[in-house]
Amino acid sequence: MRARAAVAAVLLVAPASANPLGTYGFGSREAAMGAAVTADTSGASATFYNPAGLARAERLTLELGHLQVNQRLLIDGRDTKTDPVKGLSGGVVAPGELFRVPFAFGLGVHLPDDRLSRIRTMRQDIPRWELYDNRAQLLFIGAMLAVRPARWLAIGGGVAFLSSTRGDFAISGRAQLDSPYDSQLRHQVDADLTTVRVPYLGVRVDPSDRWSLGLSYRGESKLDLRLDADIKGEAEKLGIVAPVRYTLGSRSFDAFQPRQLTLGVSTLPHPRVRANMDLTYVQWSSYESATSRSTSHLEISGVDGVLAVPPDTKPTVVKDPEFRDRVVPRVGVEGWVIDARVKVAARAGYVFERSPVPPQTGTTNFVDADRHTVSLGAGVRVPRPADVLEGELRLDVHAAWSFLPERRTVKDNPADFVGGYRASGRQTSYGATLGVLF
Amino acid sequence: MAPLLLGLAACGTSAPPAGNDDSVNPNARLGPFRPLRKPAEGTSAPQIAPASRKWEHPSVRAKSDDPADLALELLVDTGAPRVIVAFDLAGGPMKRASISDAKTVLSHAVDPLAWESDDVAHPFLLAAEGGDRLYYASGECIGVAVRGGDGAFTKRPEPCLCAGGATWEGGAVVAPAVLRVGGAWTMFYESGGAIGEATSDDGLTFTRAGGAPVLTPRAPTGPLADGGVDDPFDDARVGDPHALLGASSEGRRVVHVYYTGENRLGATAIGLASRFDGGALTRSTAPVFTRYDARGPSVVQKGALTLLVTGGRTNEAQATTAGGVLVGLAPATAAMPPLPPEIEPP
Repeated sequence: MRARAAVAAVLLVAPASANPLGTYGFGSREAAMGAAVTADTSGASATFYNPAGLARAERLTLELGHLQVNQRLLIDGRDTKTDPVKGLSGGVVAPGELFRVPFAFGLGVHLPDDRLSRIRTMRQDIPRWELYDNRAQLLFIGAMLAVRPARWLAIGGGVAFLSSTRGDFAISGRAQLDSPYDSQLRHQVDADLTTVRVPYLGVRVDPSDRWSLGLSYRGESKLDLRLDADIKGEAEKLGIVAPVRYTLGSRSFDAFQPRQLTLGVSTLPHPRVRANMDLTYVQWSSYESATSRSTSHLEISGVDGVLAVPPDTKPTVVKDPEFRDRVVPRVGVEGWVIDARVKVAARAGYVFERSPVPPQTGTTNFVDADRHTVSLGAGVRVPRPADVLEGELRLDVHAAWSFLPERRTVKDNPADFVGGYRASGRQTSYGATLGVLF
Repeated sequence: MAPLLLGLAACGTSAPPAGNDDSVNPNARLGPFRPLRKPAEGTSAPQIAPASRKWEHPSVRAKSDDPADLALELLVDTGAPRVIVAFDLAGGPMKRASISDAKTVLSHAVDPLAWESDDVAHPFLLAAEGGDRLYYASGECIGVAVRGGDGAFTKRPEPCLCAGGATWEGGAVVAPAVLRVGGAWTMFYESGGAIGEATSDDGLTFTRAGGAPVLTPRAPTGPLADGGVDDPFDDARVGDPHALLGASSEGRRVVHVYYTGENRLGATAIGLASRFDGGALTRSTAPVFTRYDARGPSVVQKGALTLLVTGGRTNEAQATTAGGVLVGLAPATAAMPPLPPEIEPP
């Protein structure tokens, strides 16, 4: 039992990484502007939004912030108590020059407060908020590099890291059913955490001082979890010894992140005002749900007519979730309301995400709804604070409200065990980011 | 900087229990059912009727409309010849009924009718104006008895429905289950391993609806030589219907029919097929109860719980079959109310 518990524990705390940041934002400035920053990002957040933006950094930059997201996601008016999302975000950007070509290295990290990752695989007929249930309970680590071969051109790329889990355990020996403490069992556990790398690429073009264009690409990623168990030996009860073998196999995917391509534009319609817009193509059609595919088989010899050995469970038939690709528009605006030695900016943004989940009229119950997000924020820039730093001190704060209007699900089959339901929700997020430019 | 760092670090010092409350998930309360647990949910869970005799074809009715009151009236057929006996489960299904509680309520020997055989079986109890109605099968027909003010059932002399009215039927009509929808009465019954439907204006004389059964066994998916493990659970016979009226989430009226499904190996399980008004019965994606070789379902809804009362083996692990009556609960994640003090297990 201890071996099984150990394997289960390994599976549950596997240090996986992906990007909850796509849902709630990375960096307070970016989150305040609706994450419409593909053509306008340069700090540690560029490791996520557009690695090419790293090449715009002029000083060594350290950033540290915190994000908190509270979710109230309802099904039939009842709170599903979906986990909040909270964690430290930050990174470092180190610019330099190589053969007179500006370059920068960036490392971005999002470290969840409560758990590095959470894996919940379940039957596909059990209702769950598919996009918000536990996909965001993940660690993000991205290492990126960018170059700026021309004043108007920057190119960047790198990898984000994931870890998938494969595990085997075996138990053999004799189990004394009448006296468990006299059982003699041998356990063997073999678990691997294998690395998965996800490519990130980006380009930024600055045709003029007032206009910027950005294009970024994020690869698809998912966690592949596999567990195989083999229990063989003898069971003894009332002096009768019966050979027993039980095999169990489980495989599932979790934390799927779709392939994304984002085109962004940023402009300065006024010297103190910046306006951004992003359009992101999200390839949800290749989505793989976190449904566990499991098989099991039990053999007990010599008990025909005495014991009723349960039949094998039928292998899970995982239905194609048939998610739909979508285009996500994002807009953001930033205005410098105080433009003296200490600069103060106000920001706002809006995002509309149409649900990629088709109507759940059949046996699956992937719960989702369209999502509107409005964000606000502010930022302060203090150059040479107390003459300690030659660079700048930055503090950004943001708050965002997401509204998921009610979506009704009606079942085709009147004998459906779940039946129809209504889904709606709200999410509130807020955070702060402190940046130091040396 | 330091206060901010301390504050940020403090945010990550402890991890609360993981969220997600799956118990609030929507559930149509149709199944799947789990057996009651012993001893937390009953002194003899999941059995509620002793197996020293072979009790079959249970029919239950809630004794009150109070959702919190789980008192049930349980009817089964037993003995040779078969007679219908009643148990008063005043404390609900959490306490095993005593044989001494069994009271014969209908038999051929008392007020015998010409169309009856010696066996009176397949009870179905329905609350109705003018007295509860007890539908039953005997001979090749289905009859009805009405409960009077003294609690005794009095047989109606004429049968409700007899064999021979449809080409698909294979002999006797048995296992009646009756619904009253508005002013109309609908009966589901078994004949020849399939389920048919008949309608009535008074609930006393029924006329077959259509010339075909409303539910038939599914086609086998492979040869029996493979042990039938991949076969549908109901590819040999469907029978013992129990009908229940419900509504969909959008308010459409739905008729649910629970039934016994039997495969070619003789194993039985409880299935469900439902239909919207005017539609055809559609099976659920899986059987609602597959354990204990269950057969003969009867279902009652109490508040947020649905109880399945069914015949089946009293010891699941033993291949030998003894006929008892046991209880299942849906939603499977729900819990039964605490045991009343008088039946608190030691």
